[in-house]
Amino acid sequence: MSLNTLKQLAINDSGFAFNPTTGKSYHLNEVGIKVIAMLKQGKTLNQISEILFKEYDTEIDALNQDIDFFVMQLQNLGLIGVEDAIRPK
Amino acid sequence: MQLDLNSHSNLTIAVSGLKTGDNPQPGVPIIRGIKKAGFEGKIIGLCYDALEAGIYLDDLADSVFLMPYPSGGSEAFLERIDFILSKTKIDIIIPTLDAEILTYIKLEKELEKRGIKTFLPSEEQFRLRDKSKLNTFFPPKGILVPETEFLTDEQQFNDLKINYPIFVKGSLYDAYQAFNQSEANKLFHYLKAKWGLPVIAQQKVIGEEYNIALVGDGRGHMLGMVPQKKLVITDKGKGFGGVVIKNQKLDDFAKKVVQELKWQGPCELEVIIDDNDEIYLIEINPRFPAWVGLAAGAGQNLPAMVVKLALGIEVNALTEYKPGVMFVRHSEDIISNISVMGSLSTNYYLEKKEITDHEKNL
Repeated sequence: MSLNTLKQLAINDSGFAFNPTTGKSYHLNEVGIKVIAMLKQGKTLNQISEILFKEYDTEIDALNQDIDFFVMQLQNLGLIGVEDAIRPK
Repeated sequence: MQLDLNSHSNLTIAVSGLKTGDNPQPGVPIIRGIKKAGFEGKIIGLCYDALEAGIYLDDLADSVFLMPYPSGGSEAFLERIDFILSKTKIDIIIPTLDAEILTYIKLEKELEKRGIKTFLPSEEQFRLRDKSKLNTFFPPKGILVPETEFLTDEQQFNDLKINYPIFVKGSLYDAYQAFNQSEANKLFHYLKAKWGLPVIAQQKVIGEEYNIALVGDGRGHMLGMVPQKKLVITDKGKGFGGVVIKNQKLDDFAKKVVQELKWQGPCELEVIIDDNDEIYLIEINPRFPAWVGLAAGAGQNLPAMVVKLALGIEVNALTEYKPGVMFVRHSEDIISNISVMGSLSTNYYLEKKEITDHEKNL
């Protein structure tokens, strides 16, 4: 699976996301909106971590863990493929 | 706009099914769709019960007639049509209830003689979409239908080839989930008493349910379709909220069903997409759904299209609709006077003046 499903996701400024293919909807927080936007742009998980690490006062390991957990949720919801949820070593 | 009805204001259009409330019928949103298309002619409401709430809406029908139940036979039905014609002309009838569609199909020629046009499927098309035919007609054509068995005796649950949970369905209407044989037996007796035999046992497909409102041209082509996912479901299983979705696979599936059936007129498909992304056809309702107002909201005024088609006017197929458009249904109290209902019950008809002047009526 590619990021096609994720790219179809309509997200408004308040973080409400609507999948027009299934009719399902989700709520995203500020960071979730940013992660999805970067995934849609084709950024890797490591690139996303680097960008967010500069922006937020946090530990890199905790940040990586949170992002990995979030993309795992996206994968479970069928919004991204298994390969998109794996962080290269 | 191709579906503008401005230029048809000399017409009288009759629409049935004015019940709203907990189990709403499609008549009210169909009339609203027709009016939304600029129709300024006469609207007649056809009802079976003097308490159908749409009767009492000020801005809906210009007059309302009480119809005999279709089970009373087509002669009584036609007699009432003639009675209506003694009061007003009718150019088009849009029937909206499962139980009456076949009567209108059978009376097509008689109605034509009286100058009344409809846009309905043939009797053969109508029968092919019957619950008893779905699982034999469609699977050989590559359209999946859940495993279905037809039962005339509760003992047949002992030899059921499908696994629980199942849906136990009435021959005409109603569907309930059964998780075991004991529940299924109880439902068998309930549905047998209510709708007669056979009672239908159908494999439950685990997945997401979708509904599609559409119009077929009778030659195998889709003229318009809008799919929705239910957002609010009442304890009666009725969708009281929904959102328009855009799913190419679902669009293709609906087109194939219409192509195979060569369906003419309005209908609603009920489908489930399972976890393997396989689409199953659950039911075909031979009329517009009660949520058809959503289709107009999403850019396809299907009731207005049916008016044009009934008149024999060629229309271009509508291919676009807006995903994300949603509806939420509400109900409200309409204040009227018992004499308005009494008048309809005794005279079989009401004029708009009587509906709107209810305060003076008693």
